[in-house]
Amino acid sequence: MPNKMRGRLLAAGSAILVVAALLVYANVSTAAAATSDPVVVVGGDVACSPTDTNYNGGNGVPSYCHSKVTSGLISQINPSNLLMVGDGQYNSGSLSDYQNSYGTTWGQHKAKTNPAVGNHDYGTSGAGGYYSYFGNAASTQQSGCVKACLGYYSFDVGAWHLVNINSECSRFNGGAGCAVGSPQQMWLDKDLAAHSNACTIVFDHRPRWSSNSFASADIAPLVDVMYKYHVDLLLSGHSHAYERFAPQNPSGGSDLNNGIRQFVVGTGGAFFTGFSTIVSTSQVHKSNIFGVLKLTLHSNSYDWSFVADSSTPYNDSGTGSCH
Amino acid sequence: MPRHTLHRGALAAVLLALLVGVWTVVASAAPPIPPKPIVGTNPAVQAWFKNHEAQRIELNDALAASLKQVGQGATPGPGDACARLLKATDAMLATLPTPKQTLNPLVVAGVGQFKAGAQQCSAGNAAAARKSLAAGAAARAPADLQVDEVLEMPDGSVP
Repeated sequence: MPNKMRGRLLAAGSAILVVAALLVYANVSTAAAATSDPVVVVGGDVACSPTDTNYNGGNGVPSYCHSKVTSGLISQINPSNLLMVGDGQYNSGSLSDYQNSYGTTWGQHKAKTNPAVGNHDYGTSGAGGYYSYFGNAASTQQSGCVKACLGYYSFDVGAWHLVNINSECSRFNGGAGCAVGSPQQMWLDKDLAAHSNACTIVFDHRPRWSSNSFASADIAPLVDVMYKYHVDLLLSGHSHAYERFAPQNPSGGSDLNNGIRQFVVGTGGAFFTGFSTIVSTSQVHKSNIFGVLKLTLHSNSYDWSFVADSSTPYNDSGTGSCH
Repeated sequence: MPRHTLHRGALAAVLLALLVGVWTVVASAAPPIPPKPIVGTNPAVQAWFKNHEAQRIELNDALAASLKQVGQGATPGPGDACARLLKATDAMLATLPTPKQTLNPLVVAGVGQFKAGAQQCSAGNAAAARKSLAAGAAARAPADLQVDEVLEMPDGSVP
């Protein structure tokens, strides 16, 4: 083979090798980015009181008191954050029950927990059990507050901005805690205006939409603000079932381009509630299940996957884009 | 004993044994049946809450505006926040009855006090209005929790 030809072949071969190496590098880099994206777990309505007839030494019985099992699911997933969407401790959220029941199950993940206050927490005056148990994690704006705290706060996880709102609206600000012009509504507006992250989550206890009697009208003014700032996901509990909605506008109409997708994940272990008339925008609804929602937060999208208690097998997974 | 009677007896015994066998297999293979979801499933109650969301939202918004107004000292007059609250309380009271007798007093708890506060505010008595609005909020918050507890109870167990 002439030297000229050999040189050309060598050059072509080298070029192919370089391109192949670059392609491999790109793939590896993408995979590394994907696997390093943060994972958060969502769930609420969690632990029975030790005095509950179905508590059974913390092991529960079929259909009741499964917080030990759902806590095990969280351990397996090992998320960066656990968004506990309210009513962590039944029936009245007392501090001793939080310590003796929730504390022995989901409490294992307390250091990575971002909690939301629920209606049952106010079974103890000023939700004092909840605020005492979670401390500053539940009242980041009022360090040291242990009773009747504001309960709303925000933080970032990876590229995402996360906001917790207090959906027990009749419990503060003279009974108008979520109304237009209320301090919480104005704070939410200011917080979302100040964070231009491509992707945003709001989580709370009460769902705005639910295919039963558990939808909250009280939080409607806050949902108006969320929509204004293009919030991507609203994560709630309160209804003890799993429900996934299509992206919606504040009126509950389907809005695939700018709507808020709501997940209801009140399946943390306490007990089941059911469905009634199914809302037209409900894409998936499943009762009689326990489990948690796993969310992988990419820079401009998210993957969801419901991880079920093995006694109530169920799957729901998919991917969504931020707007 | 006639032979055909014996045959019938044997046939009946075989059939019975088969039935018992099949029943045993089916019973042992069947998964545990979860309790029927009967909580939160009353369509009439769901529809009542859905159909009266606007009244509840307006009551909250008017209450927030009134709280601001009486906090600054009442300035009564047409179109003010307290007149808006008065109208909102009447609209909320007009939503009754609910499909469940137990819910009736709970869904309007505190509204009477809010109405009194709105009237006092419109009359220029800011101090009395503040007291009434606070009393309304104090009555409504625990009633909301009671509403939740009613909704979490098996439907047929609550009138």
